Amino acid sequence: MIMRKFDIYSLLFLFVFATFNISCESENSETINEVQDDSSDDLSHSIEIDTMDDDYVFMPPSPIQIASILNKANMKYEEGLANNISNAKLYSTKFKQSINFGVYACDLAYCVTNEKYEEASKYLKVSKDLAAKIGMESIFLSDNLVERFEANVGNQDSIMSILFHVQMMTDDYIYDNDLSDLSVIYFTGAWVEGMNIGTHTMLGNDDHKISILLSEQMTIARSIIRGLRAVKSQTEDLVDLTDHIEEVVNAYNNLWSVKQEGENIEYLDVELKHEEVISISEMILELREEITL
Amino acid sequence: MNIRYILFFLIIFILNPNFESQKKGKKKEETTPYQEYLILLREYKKSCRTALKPFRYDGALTTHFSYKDYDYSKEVEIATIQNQIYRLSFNANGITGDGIKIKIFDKPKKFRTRILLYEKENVSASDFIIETDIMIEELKKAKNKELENNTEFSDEERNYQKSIIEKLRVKKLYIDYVIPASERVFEEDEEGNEKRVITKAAIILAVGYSNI
Repeated sequence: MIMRKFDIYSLLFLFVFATFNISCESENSETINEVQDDSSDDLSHSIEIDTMDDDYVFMPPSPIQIASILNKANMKYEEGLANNISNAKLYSTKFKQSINFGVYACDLAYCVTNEKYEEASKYLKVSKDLAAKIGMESIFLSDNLVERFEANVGNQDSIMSILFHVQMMTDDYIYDNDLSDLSVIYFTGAWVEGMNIGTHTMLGNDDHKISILLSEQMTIARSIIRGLRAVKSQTEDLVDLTDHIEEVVNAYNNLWSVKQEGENIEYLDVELKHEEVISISEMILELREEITL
Repeated sequence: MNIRYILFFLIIFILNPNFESQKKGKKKEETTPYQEYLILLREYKKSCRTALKPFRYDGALTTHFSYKDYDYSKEVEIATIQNQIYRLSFNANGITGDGIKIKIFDKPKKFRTRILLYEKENVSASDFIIETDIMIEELKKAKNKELENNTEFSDEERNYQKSIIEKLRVKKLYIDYVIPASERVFEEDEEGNEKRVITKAAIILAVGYSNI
């Protein structure tokens, strides 16, 4: 009899405990529902916080466009100018990985625009590896991009359209995941690499028109600095890089050819003198070493 | 017998959270109207990019905003680094409320003397494209006017300035989305709590450059 009573008490206890557990769970879910309901409300009845509420946004040009400037200036492809693929293993921090993802994106576009497909294929793979490290691997996993790229080697149009596809996917991924900070760092890498390739070519070339390349790319340097200063997590690496880019921009703005254009510098292409190219080139090469080594 | 009961309830107890998590999983699969709106925006973005053809894709940006009880603007800076014509493709199908104003300038907000290169009013539920050649013409027109008004220049200097103006191009564009004020609207929920109604919208911009 005592045992039977104990049975009933145990049953009751377990029943109450189980019921309590159910009600706790359901209370939690209701709370979640309330929050979800807010966002799931009709669009005009939403109280969701607008997370993309910046009053100013800079939309950088794509690495493909940077490479196409180099190509349009009839700059011949030079082996060894692009960042060495084996350097990728040196990049252990997220900052280094992100910025060099941009460097390799520019190198990839540089190879493709110059129809160097074997090299391009290697840069695509190294970009994929770095993308995986910074959480963007899905871009390269979709649509068998690497396989499609290899299958189309030699077909410039198809390869270019794959490259544009990668660019769109990267843009979408950055937007969908609210990674504008990553986007600034990644674009800075592409920009520095574009300047590096351009600079090397300018040093071995007296053609003043090629120096216009520099002025075209310097146009966006101030916006890059503004973007880098606005990155939420200001690491030491990032601050140093931003300061370094600012030094280059200030030196460029102090060149005689730039100064003489006055206010119109905002609207004109500037042809630099060879000695001016040399002075600014050294700074650019240092900047590039800082990020790739 | 006792152990059997205990085991029976223990099993129910253990299974119970699984039922709950299954229910939660089901809830997650449901798409909310806001998520549906985001999916729709993705579709708009695709057609916005398609409208760039035959120009080459350079980038795309979706600008989200909500109507407030005062006018305000959001600025997007784009770099037109190649001496080429650029095409700007706007898709405003994500704007279902009051139309916004789009203004394009040569300089950012802080410059009072910036030049208005393009303007379109009451933009909503539509899409359109514009190209930078008309903006370059506007820039030259404004600069020539400035020159005409400046009486300090000698003829020689004036001719030199004119030749410079002919070479001008736009290297950067500042696109301002001017969002009109909207009356604050409140509504009561089922429990009688007053909540402010916020109307959200988005405009998509895709940029392409001429490859010729």
